[in-house]
Amino acid sequence: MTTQTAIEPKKPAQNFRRRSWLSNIPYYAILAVWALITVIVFVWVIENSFKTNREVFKDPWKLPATPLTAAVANYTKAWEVSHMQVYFMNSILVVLASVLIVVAVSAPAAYVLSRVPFFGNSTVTYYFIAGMGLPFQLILVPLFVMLNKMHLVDTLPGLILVYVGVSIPFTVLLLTGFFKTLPVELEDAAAIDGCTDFGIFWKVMMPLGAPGLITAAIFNFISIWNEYLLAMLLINSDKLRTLPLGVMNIRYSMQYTADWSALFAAVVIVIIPNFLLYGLLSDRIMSGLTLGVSK
Amino acid sequence: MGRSGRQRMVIPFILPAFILYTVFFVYPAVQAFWVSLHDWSGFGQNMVYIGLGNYREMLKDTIFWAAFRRTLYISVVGGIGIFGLALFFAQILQRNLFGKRFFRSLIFFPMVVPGIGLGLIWQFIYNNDWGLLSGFLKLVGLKSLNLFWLAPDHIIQSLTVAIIWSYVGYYMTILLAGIDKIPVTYFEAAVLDGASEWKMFFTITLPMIWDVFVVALVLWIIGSLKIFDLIVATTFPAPPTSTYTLSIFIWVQAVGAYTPVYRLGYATALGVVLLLMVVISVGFVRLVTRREAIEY
Repeated sequence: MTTQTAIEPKKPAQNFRRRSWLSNIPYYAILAVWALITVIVFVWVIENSFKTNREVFKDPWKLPATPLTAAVANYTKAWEVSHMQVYFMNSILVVLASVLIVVAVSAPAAYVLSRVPFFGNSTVTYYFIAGMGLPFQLILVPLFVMLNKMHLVDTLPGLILVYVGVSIPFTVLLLTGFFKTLPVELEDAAAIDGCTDFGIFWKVMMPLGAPGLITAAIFNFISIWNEYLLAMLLINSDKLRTLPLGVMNIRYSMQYTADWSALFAAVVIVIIPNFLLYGLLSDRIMSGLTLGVSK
Repeated sequence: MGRSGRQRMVIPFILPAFILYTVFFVYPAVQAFWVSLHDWSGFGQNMVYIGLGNYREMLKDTIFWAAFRRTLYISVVGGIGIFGLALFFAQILQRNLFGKRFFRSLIFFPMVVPGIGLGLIWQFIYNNDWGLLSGFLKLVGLKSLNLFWLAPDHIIQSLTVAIIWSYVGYYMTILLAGIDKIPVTYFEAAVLDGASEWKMFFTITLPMIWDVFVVALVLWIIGSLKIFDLIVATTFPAPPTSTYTLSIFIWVQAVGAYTPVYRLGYATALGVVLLLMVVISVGFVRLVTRREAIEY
């Protein structure tokens, strides 16, 4: 394969989209190298979670000798001894609650902003979207003080409310973009048939907008599942940690135990839910990505 | 469109999102400006008003300036790497290659992995002793090239490589979506006229995806200035001061990486600077890239 990369086709193809298989070879080679690196990285991480500690420190190209026993030991250690099961449940709870609330409050707002002309519409839209430029680092201290006064520091409801607040800008942007692509005619038809305004939103727009709502939910799921900085600021107790905090906690205690193989197992556990979500829904993620971006 | 009764929906429909967003995001952000004018050495202590004292201190703080430069380095060098590769990949994938979806999904995949996970993975890769990179160099007989990748001399380059690998798929996907919307007839006409690949890229592709390109660039700037978890995890435990970026420095000043520091006013002033960097660089990019939109 690689020896042929030097051959560069000189003649422009007859049809742009239907070029010959041969002329694509150099491009395949480049893509293949990048893809290979990515695959090797993740396979290596998974493979190391099937190794004993001693094997991890040896040749990285050697296959695990006792994959099953090592894996059972590593994953049990991560899941039970290092409390990953607790962190996992916390993460599920926080993420599901946050996603549900953020979509539930952003959808009506985005609907009104994209459909109802009212005085100050564009100002309010800008107000919502401006939050996308706010770095979390800016709000750390005031946020902590405020939540402390509300007795919400080191509680999961506090973390959920913060996640909802910071996720609204992106969700509103995505959903206004999506609602604008939906045809107005159906709403008008429903209005002529005597449907109330709320009825139009609930019975016409929500079913039509379902793909957009699902896309928004997936994006928020992934970003909240991955969030680390705010969780680290607000959560202190071990039993309330989310997965990213938990993994870093394992990394922290590892300075004394040097149990790298269990850490590899922990990293695999954090990645798996997103991997499954991505495997099932990658097309929707890809198309959703450009929803808020393009015109 | 004459359904004026809908005006009644405006307030109840917007209010819940408005309140949650304002209370938990905008209000703390506004308050940050006030906090940044104070000396404040712990959540239990009193705030002492010092005016612009924190900002004056920053001007003389060598750690701050080093962190500032490193943040810009990641933004600029990482940005060149990411957009160079993203345009290149998007350009390749726009042909309906066999396996297009596979490659696109694979290149994008690191984006959905938690930053903490990515950071730890790169810490493993860069491990000088048993890491993947060192192992690879030993395998191909280039042992002499093996460095302490995460030592202060190399760390910022190592981090930038990790960041490029992690984020390139995201920007590639955005650009690819723009390219796929260009009518094929444009390219067909160009091919008939004997235009080369390069010529088509600069005269058709790039001008026609310009809007998308600018949006992607703005997203990168906003994102790159605040990259945190990936760096924290890669440099864990306790990054040395010589590896701070602004986002790490803020965290260290607010709570301390290892031992508590609690310089809350100073940390918040640094946060304000980070916001200013976002605003100024986004404004700069919009100004430089301004161009009449091409309708098609």
